[in-house]
Amino acid sequence: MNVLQTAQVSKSFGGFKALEMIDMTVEQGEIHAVIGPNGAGKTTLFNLLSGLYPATLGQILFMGEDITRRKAHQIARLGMARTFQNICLFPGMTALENVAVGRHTYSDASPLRIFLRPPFFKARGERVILEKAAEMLGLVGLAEKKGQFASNLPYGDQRRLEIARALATEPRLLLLDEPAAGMNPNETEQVLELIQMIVARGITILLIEHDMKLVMGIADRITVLNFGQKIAEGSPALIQNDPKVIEAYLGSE
Amino acid sequence: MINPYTESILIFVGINVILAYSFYIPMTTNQISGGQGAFMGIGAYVSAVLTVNFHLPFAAALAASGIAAGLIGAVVGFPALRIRGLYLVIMTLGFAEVVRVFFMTNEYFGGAYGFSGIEELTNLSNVYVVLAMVVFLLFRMERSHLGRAFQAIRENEIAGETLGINITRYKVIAFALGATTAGLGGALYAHYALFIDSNNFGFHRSIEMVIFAVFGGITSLWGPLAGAAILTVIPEFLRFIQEWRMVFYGLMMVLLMTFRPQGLLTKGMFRRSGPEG
Repeated sequence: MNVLQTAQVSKSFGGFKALEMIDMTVEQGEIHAVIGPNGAGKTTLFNLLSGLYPATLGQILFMGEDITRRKAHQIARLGMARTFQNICLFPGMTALENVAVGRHTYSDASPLRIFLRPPFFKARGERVILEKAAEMLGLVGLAEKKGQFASNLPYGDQRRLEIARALATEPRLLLLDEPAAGMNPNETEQVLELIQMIVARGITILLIEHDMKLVMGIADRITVLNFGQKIAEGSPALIQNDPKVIEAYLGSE
Repeated sequence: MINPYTESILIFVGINVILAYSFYIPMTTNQISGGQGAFMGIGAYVSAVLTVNFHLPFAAALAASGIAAGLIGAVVGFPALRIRGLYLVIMTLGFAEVVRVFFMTNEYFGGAYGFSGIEELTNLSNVYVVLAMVVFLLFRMERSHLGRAFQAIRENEIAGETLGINITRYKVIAFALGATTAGLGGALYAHYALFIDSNNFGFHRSIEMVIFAVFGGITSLWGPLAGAAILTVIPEFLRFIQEWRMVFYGLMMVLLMTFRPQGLLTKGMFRRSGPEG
């Protein structure tokens, strides 16, 4: 079954066509990579999928449901989570609190229950949220840093914290926007392991990666964008030898 | 018994802390209001009319003034969603001016002569009961998913949205709650000042609330409390320097903002690390 399907999805900013007629499908359980040179429209695509920008044209289906006109918070509830290229954590919260925000939609506490609960009792729902958040932190290897403010964490930990926060929403599809950007080879290796672990949990992954070599080793399927258009799609082996892709990356003779 | 002078200071401390919270609450979702004075005015006038003209008990008038201010706050909160930062300050300031002129020109509310004949129904105990309720609710909220949602909106709205937080809903809730709090403060003020006129709720009043909250620190729940209390009490201790009093007051603000722009208190100041599970 297709987790995600786009039909002729386009986005213009004024006269600039950031994305043109993108048709793509992401299948259940795969690691699907979106690659392309700078400015190809990869992040714009993510912003359309997650509902941050409205599409100018086209249709987006997620789990068979039309989400083209849905708002970001509604799409999140349907089971799509994402991370950001420029890390978007809540700097004034601890690592644990950051992940707990990811559990927002699972809170069963109505405002009335928050206020009318007798003193000195921690709400059961709140306790469950924090337990689950701690579990997610453990999953990405940040269990020991749960009390630290997000802004104080080293860069690599911040990236992993963002992944933990997205996982806390229990997504079916996880969008990762350059998860290994700015990392050293050792950290990159850890992120690749983490991605594989996430897929093993049954979560489909759509991944933007700038570095083609990195993607080749991990992706099941690759979509290549260039200047807002899809120029190729297929297995890594196929993509690697596609003349259009090679041209996009290396320039034509 | 405490003497009347001390009592009046304590009552004003209580009212000012409530007012400081009215600025703080929308601020927790990054909405800077420059017009909380208007909501205070709505609470003051509504409660005064209810106790004077309709002879309602004070508790009922108090509740009604909070609800009235909150409803109007929700209405203002919707257009406010699209506006950020300094622009929101100007928008709310304009709204407050409309409200002020409305009360100044409307004969039913006493017009330019103001509204007089209000009974002294505010006392130490009801001020501090209201304040305790406000603090308790805020305390509870901050330690729930609601408070986390507010903070998430303040620190990164887009990230919050992609985690399933309905930004619109929470921003309007925060704005309306702030307005409600201002309305309560206004009702308490009206029944202590005994005479109100529209100029009590103008620009100067709105800015005063901003100063209370920012001075104390707007990242901590206790900041507005500390700020309003200190800034209400200190001028009283400075009476001996007479006309230099406000100079000192202003200087204090300049110094604090220069050396501690985050305000007196900050979040997490009283704990070594984050919450433990």
